[in-house]
Amino acid sequence: MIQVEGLTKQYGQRRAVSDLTFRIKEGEIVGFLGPNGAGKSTTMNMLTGYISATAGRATVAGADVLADPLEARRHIGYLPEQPPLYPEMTVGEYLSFVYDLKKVKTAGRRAHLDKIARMVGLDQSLTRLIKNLSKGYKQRVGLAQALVGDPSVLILDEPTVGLDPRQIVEIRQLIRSLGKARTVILSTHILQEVSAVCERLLVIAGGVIVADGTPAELMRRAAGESSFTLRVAAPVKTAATLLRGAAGVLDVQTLPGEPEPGAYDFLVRSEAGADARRSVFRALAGAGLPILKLAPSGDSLEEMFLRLTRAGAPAQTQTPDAPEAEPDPEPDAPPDTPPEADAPPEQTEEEETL
Amino acid sequence: MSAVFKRELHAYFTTPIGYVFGALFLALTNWFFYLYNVVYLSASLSSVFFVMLVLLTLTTPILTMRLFSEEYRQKTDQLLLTAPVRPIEIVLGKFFSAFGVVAAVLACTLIFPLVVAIHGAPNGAEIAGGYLAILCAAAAFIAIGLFVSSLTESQMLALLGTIGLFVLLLLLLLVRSSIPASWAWLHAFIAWFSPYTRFSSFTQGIFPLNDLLFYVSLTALFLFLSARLLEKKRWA
Repeated sequence: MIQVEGLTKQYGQRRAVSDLTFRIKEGEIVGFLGPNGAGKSTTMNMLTGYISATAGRATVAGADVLADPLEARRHIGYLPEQPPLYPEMTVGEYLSFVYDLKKVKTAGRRAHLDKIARMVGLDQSLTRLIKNLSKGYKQRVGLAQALVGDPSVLILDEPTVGLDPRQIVEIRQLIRSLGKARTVILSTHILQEVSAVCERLLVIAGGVIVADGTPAELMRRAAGESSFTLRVAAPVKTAATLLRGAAGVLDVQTLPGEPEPGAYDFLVRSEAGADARRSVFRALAGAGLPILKLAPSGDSLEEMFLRLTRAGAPAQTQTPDAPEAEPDPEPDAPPDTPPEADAPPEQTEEEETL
Repeated sequence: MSAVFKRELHAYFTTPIGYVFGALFLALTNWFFYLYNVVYLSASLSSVFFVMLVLLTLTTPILTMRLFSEEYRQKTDQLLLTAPVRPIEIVLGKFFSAFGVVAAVLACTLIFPLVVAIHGAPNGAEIAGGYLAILCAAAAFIAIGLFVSSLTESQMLALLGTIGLFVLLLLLLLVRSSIPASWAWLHAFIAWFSPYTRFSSFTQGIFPLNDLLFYVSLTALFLFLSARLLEKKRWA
């Protein structure tokens, strides 16, 4: 459905996107994941023909986006980073304008627009002026705009930005249901979003694709190296020496502070493919030192993301022994991978917005 | 094209812009008509047409300033440029919406010939020619304003830039009178591309085709340039 070959965008000296190549099959829901400034929006703008590529080509539904732009754009519904709304129009007027602008051929403007309004939850707001809408509602209007004309490809640049947690859940469900019959590309820097919505992930950093696969695949790949935090009731030096001596341990870091009297926290990294937890237990038990806590550190998806996007070097995806330049962001964080349905509000706000 | 046209026309009348333009233009032309034709009892509308021309250069920028600048600022150009529409369609839609507003406002001045006809004997051909000429000139002014608006994100800059350009052309006429007569080519040059001197024959009741073509080609040129500029933004 979408084919991208060697797509490159150069802004003066800066290369925003470099030699991007990927294919997206019909009916796939693909997430572009990457830190801000990684080139997600630039790529989407090139796919929709808003900006041209410096090199390479992209085809959507068989039509080259630059050579045959009108045909390509007929198949695309695009929600840009900032929804393109006219504040002085009402929601209904605006959607009707988009219907005309896209030269939609399907009969029954009213029925078509009403259906879309119902889908995104705007059916009660058609007579409201866009300038009076809240950010979340504006985002919905932007999404509705992309759906006008039933395009077979949806390109959504951060579709859930500005929505409240309940709306986020609703919109994600909507995208999933839309993706049954359509090809969807959505960009996000919210990790939960990709696991909640996407079937496939393209991780972009520094303008290049650093990883491509299903969320599960990527996590498995990233899990080659794992780390955990440990609380041991023993003098720091004794414990650290013992830990370093245990089989499968790559590195031990002493964490600051004395969380419990006489007990200290350590961050232990296992070697690739090895699970050092058993050997650590044996080593400490042999020395008679009690383990007060043992927890896998951080969210594995977040770890994967950090590792993949660190410095944006594609080689790192193949070699799991990444340098430990960056300490784990939240060593004590509980292993929270909540399903998106019961995500509490604060959770969504605090998601790793890297 | 019709989608953009309808939206812009709608915007002119749901925002104050259309009304500001209409009120300003009509108030000033009416005032002049009253002074010249009613108080001084003239049946010739030619001076009124010339006043309309000058007023149009000062007021059409109000209509054109936001046509593209506002799209850039609100990032709605992303919607237009990713829709299955060619840039020239967008430009034409915007052009005709502004032109429609000018035409509607000019229609309101049809009361002038009516008043004159009741109390005197106006020259029908002169009036018809005057309206045709003023419409052609307005088209050129709108096309130029549209082009300037496509250069900047700021409405204010587009407004001042367009008015500035027209005032400069008007000033050139004043400069011309102080150029020594031996520089005839410069006289001719300024006269050639000044939309004001082009207009003077119309107000004398003459209807030269080449002057009409001048306005039409000026319009076409700037509409083409605007479309190219829109296309060029992609390649930035």
